[in-house]
Amino acid sequence: MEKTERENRRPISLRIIIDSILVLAIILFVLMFTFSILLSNSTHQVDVCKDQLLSLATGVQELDRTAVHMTQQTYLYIQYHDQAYMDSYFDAVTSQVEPVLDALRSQSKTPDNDKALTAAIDRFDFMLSLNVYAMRLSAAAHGTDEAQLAPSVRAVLLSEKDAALTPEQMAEKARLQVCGKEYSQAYSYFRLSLESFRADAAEDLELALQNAENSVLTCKENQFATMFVLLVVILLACVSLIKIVLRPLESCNQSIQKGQPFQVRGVYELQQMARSYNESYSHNIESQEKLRLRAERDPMTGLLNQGNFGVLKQRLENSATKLGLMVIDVDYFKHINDAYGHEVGNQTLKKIASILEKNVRPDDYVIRYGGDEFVVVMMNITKENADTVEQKINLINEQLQQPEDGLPAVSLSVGASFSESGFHDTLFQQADEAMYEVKRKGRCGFASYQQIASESDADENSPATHNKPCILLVDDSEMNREILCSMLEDEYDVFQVLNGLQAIEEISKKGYNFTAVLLDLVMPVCDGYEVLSFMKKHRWHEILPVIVISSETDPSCISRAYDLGARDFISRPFDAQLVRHRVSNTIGLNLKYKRLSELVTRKIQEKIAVYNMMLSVLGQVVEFRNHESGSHVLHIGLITEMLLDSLMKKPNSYGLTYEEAQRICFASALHDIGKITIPDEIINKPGKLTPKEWAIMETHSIAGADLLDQIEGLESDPVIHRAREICRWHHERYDGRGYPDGLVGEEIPISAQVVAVADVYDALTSDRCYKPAYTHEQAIQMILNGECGTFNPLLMECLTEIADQLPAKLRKDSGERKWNRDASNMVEEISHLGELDGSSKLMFQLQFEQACVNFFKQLVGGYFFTYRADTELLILSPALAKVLHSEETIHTPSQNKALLTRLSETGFSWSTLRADASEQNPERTVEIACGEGTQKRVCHCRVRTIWSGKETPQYLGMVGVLIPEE
Amino acid sequence: MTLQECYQELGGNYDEVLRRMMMPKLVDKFIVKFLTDGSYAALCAAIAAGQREEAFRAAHTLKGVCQNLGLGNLLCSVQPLTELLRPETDTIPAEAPTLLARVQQEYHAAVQTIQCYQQTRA
Repeated sequence: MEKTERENRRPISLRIIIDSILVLAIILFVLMFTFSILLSNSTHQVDVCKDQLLSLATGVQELDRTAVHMTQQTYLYIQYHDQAYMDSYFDAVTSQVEPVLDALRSQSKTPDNDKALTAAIDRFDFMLSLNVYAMRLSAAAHGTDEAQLAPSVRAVLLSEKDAALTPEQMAEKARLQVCGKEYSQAYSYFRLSLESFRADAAEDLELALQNAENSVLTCKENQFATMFVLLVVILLACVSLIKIVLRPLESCNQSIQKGQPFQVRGVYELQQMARSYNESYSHNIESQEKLRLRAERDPMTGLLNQGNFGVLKQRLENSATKLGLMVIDVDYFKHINDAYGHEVGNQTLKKIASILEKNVRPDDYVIRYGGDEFVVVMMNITKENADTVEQKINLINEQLQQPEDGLPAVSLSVGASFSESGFHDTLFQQADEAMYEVKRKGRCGFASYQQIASESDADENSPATHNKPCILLVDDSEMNREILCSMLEDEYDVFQVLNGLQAIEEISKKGYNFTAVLLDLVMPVCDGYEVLSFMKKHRWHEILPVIVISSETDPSCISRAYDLGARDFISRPFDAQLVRHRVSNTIGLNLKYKRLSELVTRKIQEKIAVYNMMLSVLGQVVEFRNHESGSHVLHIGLITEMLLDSLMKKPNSYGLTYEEAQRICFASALHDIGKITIPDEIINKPGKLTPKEWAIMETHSIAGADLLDQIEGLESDPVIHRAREICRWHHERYDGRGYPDGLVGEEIPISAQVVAVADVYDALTSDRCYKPAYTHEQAIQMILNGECGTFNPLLMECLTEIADQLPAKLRKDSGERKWNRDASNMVEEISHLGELDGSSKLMFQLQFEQACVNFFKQLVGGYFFTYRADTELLILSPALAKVLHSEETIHTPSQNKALLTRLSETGFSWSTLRADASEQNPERTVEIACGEGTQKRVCHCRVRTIWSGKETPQYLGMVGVLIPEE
Repeated sequence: MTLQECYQELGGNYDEVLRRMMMPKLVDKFIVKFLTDGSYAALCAAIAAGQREEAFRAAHTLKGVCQNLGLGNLLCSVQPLTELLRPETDTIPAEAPTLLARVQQEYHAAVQTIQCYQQTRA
């Protein structure tokens, strides 16, 4: 709480600090200035006072001294009657007395003072008058010429009484004037008055001096106080600047040197700067990180690789970002590689990568985590957005399942987990768990860990959901069912029924839910064969593999089961391991079969489409020259196809296969190709031809065949071979009356016979330059009546059968043939040839091999293994698995890290097992170290590679045993 | 009585059965369950009723069970009977009762052994 308040408080601004310091400085300066002026004034005052005091004392002293001096001069004049004394006297009066008196008067400031000074001056004047009087008397006594006397002395008039006196008396009186009592009284009074004045004036001056001195002191004190304040202010400013400006700046500098973000501290401006810098810093770091991540990518898909994911993870571990993680696995990707090859597999991965990149937001990261595993890190997302993500994944899956680029359809299983703050250890694990949940529920979909967790909380008490692959087990014996269940229930959901009827019901209802059927043969109500027949009839056997489980040992029974479409056979007694392997193999092979079928179908479709187009073009070129309708070639093709379809259902179908029939249909387009050698006027002649013209016309059959013969490099092409037959012999007749070779009956190849019927029918029902068109019914009737030549009765039978559908079929655009159906028929044929032919032989071989394996197992102490290259399945015997600390069944051992590590510990690698082996030299022995620590011993590992017995032998797998050294 | 001893008496190879079933617990479970298996009863009933097809099916099932459980002695007696009943005829072949008698004998011996095992197992 306190912290938030602190955070919310806006920090102090540098501008405010500077402004405050400025204002304070001005105030302090003004104060200092004022105080210094006051101080100087006061000092001056003190000086003045002191001066005055001095001049006062001097003045008083001077006046007193002058008074004494004048008295002395007067006395001396009287005594010696020397004119010089009188001159000195008056000299003193003028030069000394007047300035001293002026100075003293200026010092007098109060009335008392004035009075004292006046009194003193009065006495002084009185003394002066006495002196002058004394000097007049003396002068008179001595009879001094008046002209020699000073004016002021001369001015004194002697009274009659004085004049009457004798010079001695006069001299005596003069002396009495200066040394008499009156004079000394006057002098004493003068001294008193002067002293009183001096004391008063000095007191006043001293007071003033005191005041001035006090004022000086105060000023000085104030000045000191101001200086102190200034000092404090400067100190405070320095300290605070250091703390809130300098230090943060230093820390910023350090951060720049270390390449770290700034600490947000100090004054407002610095904090602002730090924030701006940090923002751009983190932005820079992020872009750098992104650039770096983008630079190191998976070379194939261009996505980030696993290493990048590690870096990203580390970076996100410390962040508080909300994020989501998706783990994406491509469903059955291995089968794509198996069925279409690695090139197509890689293309598919690239496509998925690009779709993922297009569908995520720019801030998200798409990583190729492993072979077919991707990871998407979604930034700023919460579990509430899971629905949106799911919708997106569903769209991607839709897109992937309807490919338009020729790549196989794939789907993604996606698990996600969301985090509220950064990446944590369990996030990947959670997303992975969610992904496996999707896999368990049938793949192709999305689940989030949080969603599953909340659902499982809700469903805690509800029964467990079926999320394992489901197998239908059909057996009437409870005991057998239970034994099989106990062997399979770990990996599969086993759905049990008691007899064939129930099985058929289940398959009809929800066959798509099952991945395989385990079928007993001998059962009440409806046995296993009936189930197989039902499945074959409805083509269930193509998508739902059946493994027969029976104690039946009669080869004919087993063979019959294979003929009806069973994929594998598990005889009794049941071996738990064997049962598991066989079931998982069958399911895997079935998937592979499906993919292969798709591939073959598509290839055949492509090939047929091209074939068809080329032949149609060729045929139409011929027709164009013949001025025929242009649809003749297509009609012939269609009628031929229908006739052949019908013919193939007959017991004697001339050994025709779908493939062969198809070739005949293609070749039919070329039946009249020889007509290009016939001149225009004969071909387009309206009305009947002359015998000579007929002879020329008839050459078109041989000409056509020759034409085809001349095409180099195509002599062995089966379609060209059929076309040659058709060209040469499509005008032969069953009764031998045709041309050019007059072949009879079955001498005429069936291809030519069928095309002949088709040609006649289409010619009858078309307008020609020499005849109008007949109706369908008329044409059929004419042919059956033999009006247009004699034909194979079997073909007539076929024509009758298809007659009803013919007009409708021909009305349809002949171009719209059902090539797909043909292709799938062909695929079926291929698969029959490749897998099911000679199934009983296979069965015996299997049983024989099983017995051999069992025998050798016991012989070699149980350390053996088998590896099949097609399914990439390594099966270890329990004992060997234990030695290698490994599972008994290992899929794609070449990529199984645990196994490879373990193998390398024993001193050899997986690849060396097969290295150098060839069909001529299939066996090899490697020495390996088995066991732990002191128990270690050397074993010989004897490996035999297995090869197909074709012209170019193919590697099928290997078997091996471990033989401990004696 | 141990399972091994029991199998010895039944003419079977315990080790082989254990290898197939992987766990002694399962061998024990199914050998005891054999006592409740209905195929033998069905076989007797079908032969008594003269229904060849039913009898064949039951014999076939019993054979399968014997193979799975490794009941050697009983399997040896059931096999000829199964093959005898296989050909699609309307009636049961005359040799059937003889062969059935052997089956019965072996079956009872097996049941006795298993019951004995059931009672004396640890």
